[in-house]
Amino acid sequence: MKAFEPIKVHNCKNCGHPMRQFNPDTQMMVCESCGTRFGESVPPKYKPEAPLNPLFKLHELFEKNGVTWQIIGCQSYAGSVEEWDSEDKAWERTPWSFHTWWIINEAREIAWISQDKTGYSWSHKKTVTSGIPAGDRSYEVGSWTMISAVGEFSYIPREAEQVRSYEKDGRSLSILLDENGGNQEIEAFHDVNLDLMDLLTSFGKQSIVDGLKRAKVAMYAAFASIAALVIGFFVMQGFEKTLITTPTVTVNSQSLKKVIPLGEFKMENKGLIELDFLANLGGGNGSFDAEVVVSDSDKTPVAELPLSLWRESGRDSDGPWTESQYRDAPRINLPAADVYTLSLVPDSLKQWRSISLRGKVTRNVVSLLPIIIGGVVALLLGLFLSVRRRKYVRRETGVGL
Amino acid sequence: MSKLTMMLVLLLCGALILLPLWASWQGMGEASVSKQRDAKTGRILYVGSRGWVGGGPSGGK
Repeated sequence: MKAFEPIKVHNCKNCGHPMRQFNPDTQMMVCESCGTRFGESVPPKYKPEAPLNPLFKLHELFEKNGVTWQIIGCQSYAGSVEEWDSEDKAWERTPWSFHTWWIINEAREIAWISQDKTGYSWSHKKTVTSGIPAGDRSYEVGSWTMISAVGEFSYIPREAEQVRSYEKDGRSLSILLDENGGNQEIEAFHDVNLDLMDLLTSFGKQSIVDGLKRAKVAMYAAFASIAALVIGFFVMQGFEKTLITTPTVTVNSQSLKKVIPLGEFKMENKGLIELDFLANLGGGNGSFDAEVVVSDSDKTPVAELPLSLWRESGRDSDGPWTESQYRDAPRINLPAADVYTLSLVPDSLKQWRSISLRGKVTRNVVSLLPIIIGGVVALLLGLFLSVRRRKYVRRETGVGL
Repeated sequence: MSKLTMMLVLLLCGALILLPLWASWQGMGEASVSKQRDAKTGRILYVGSRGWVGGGPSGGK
């Protein structure tokens, strides 16, 4: 992109800096070097400066929809926005600030880009068709003081000029106030948000756009890993296979410490099994503890798994409560292929006269813990990439929350 | 983000899917058979966690 030819160059009366004029309708120029206004020879007490911005800089060029634009000025405003809070039934005030970048194209047409911490928007000037919506609670009302103006402008901005704005659905009415607080000039704008990737492309930062796209792919891949883990877990559950279903056994005080055979099952490989026991608990509170013994073909016990079933109830300040565990499903990794024998050794039966329970042995069961750990790591990775990407966007565009 | 970094992250994501699924299939994190026996009772020691089965009776609140 080739820089535009200035129509005139004025040397600053204070520092001699060549102030290039691009807009034929310019009425005021502020030296970007020392802040002295055109026609004056004494610089202001506080030097106005354009904000530091990775994209927008005075006289920087960019291309939008095939049209080359050049930045010629910047005004900065600080103040607050009032919004009606329908819950509190009061106006809620939020401190805010924004910058207006003045840009010009080759046909010497002026346009404005508004920047606040949320992003950039192209301000299209519209015809004022309505009155001032003073008191209308559907509008956001802004009260602004200009804190800085650098470059060239097609009007004469007063020092610390006051502006009031009414905004709704991207359409705004901007009222420049005179020294007495009266309305001096009313302008209407339609703000269209600018996509940050498009804006980076406009400034020729294609490599940054590509980097951000890759970061987005990586971030989505991390979050998609969580979904893949969950889907994989449920798919693997589909391979579960019931090896045996035990007969229903009734346990009473005479059965304690006696071995109750539950059946045999064959394992073709080593692996994880689940011994799922479901009980028909007796009435009222009570507890039952037992050992589920798994023995190999040599009748040697290879696993003794605790089984615990209980119910208890009571009353506290919230009223009556009941808690129970009528199902217990211990799991064990069996070390080798073999024919295993399953038996139950009741250990204690408290308060109940008897309980009946049945169980089943399932193989190819999958454990949840690795899925949880993998999911947490993927989530942390996705969040880390998201935060890094946001920081990168903020660094390269100057905006972003 | 550079192409190399993206490839590494995608590889990491692949590992984050495959390794937990493999570990899950292998039953990692579950109890396993132990050769050790309790010195007093002679019972086989139960190794590993019981998973997400909650607590036990509180013995009265």
